[in-house]
Amino acid sequence: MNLNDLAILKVSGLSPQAIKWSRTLDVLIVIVAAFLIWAVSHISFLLLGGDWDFFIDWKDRQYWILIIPITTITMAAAFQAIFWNLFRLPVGATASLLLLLVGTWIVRYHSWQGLAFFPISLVVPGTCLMGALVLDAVLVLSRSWLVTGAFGAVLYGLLFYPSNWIYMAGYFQPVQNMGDMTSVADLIGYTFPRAGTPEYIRIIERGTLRTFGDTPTWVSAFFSAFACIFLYYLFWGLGVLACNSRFFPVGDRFKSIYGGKSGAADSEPALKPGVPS
Amino acid sequence: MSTHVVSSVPSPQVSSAAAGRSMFNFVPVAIGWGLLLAVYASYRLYQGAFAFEYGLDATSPEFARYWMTLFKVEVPLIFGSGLCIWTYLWFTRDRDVAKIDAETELRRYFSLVAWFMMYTFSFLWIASFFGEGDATWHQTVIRDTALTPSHIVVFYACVPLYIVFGVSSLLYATTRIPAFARGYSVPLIMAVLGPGLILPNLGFNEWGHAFWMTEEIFSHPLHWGFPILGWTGLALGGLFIQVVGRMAELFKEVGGPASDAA
Repeated sequence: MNLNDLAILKVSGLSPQAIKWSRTLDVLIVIVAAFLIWAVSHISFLLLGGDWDFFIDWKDRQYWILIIPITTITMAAAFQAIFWNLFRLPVGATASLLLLLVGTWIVRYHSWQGLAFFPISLVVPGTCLMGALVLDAVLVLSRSWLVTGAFGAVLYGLLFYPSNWIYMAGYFQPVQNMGDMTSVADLIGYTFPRAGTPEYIRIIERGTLRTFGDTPTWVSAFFSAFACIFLYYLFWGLGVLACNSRFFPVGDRFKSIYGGKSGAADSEPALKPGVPS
Repeated sequence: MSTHVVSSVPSPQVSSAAAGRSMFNFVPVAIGWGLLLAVYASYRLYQGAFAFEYGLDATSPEFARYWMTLFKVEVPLIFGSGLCIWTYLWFTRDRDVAKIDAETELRRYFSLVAWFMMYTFSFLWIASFFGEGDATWHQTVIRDTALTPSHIVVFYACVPLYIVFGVSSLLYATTRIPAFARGYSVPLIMAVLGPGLILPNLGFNEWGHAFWMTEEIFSHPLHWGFPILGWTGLALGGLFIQVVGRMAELFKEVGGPASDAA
């Protein structure tokens, strides 16, 4: 324990015994929070944008770059709001995206490869971790959710593609397949057909901007950055709403069902709704 | 946003005997996690052994033997176990909860956090591991029934399991902790009821897949009910304020003054 810790504990006014209990509670809260962040981030991402992350050949320049940032920034913003409002900790976005990445890697290895025998090269997940770090950094530097939304969310959207390019580049190498040119990613996709998403519902590369060369990639990235601003604000608001700690008084009839005894303390509501204690 | 902390009600008795004693026992949680882990690992191994072997044709006798039997056993077993836990929590409720001393209240708060540890751990397995695991099945096999080898695990074992722990957390809090007995905790109800509604939301999901689209785009609006209900888990943020706020008061009340530190 360093001098800073000792100074904080002195200000807290807790006895050594209470400090131990408090430290125990800290650890337990971290565990509960980690499970919660992991679970909510994953289910949200999975069912809002998961398809574009499942397969390497779905990681295109039209929808992948657009959809993954705008679906992942939702929980990043919500957990950022919760951690910032409750604990002044600028870790919500990083925690959300880091635990999401851990979760997806576990499933890709144990279920996609282990159960359904897709090669890991087909189902390697993308990452939003760099954007999340920047988002948290902007929050701690600006201490403002407005500024974080205006600048951090834009950077979050823009950084997604370059931060994934490092592992993606190899999959975009051209190869010849049955006389035609295709990418390594598409070739892997041709080899492992997926019955649940046959070609006729494959939502990929339907744009008409091919004549622009590589620029559609950045068009998608900037559109994603633009959308991230609004989703950040929306889900920051949801996070703030989630910090509501209201109680509503239990009626006497319900108490009698409980078999609870009435008393002086019992008759007081824990909190008058809408009135800060 | 202003956050509202539970107002302090002076406790009738303050025990100084609490000093030196542990307030939280990790052993029951470790045992609970271990048991759950064993259950989830068994499900995964069972899927690995029999999902593609006997789970592709819902009309086959092998499917009935290996998968429908599991379904018919697990649902009453899990909900039956839950009913036993809920009944126990109800009949052992504190009928004079407003009069408990501060040390007892602090212990019960720690126990409530232990229930949350079980609840969030069990929710994690459906939201992450078996949730995305369901995608591996659907991307490989066209559905021919609502009761696939994947659904029998993810929807009819994992979901009931976390409902058991969620409702148990709610029951424990409302029957043993003064603040939760005096008032309905909005975030606690949200955090338990919201994810719990994922089970009835299956009706919409299966209806949509039966009459609308048999293919699986996971991001399809048909599936949006699941993440939206999952977002209600965020309400644990408000619950943290209620729990940590009151526990911070109890630490001082039960732990004695800071001058003892010297």
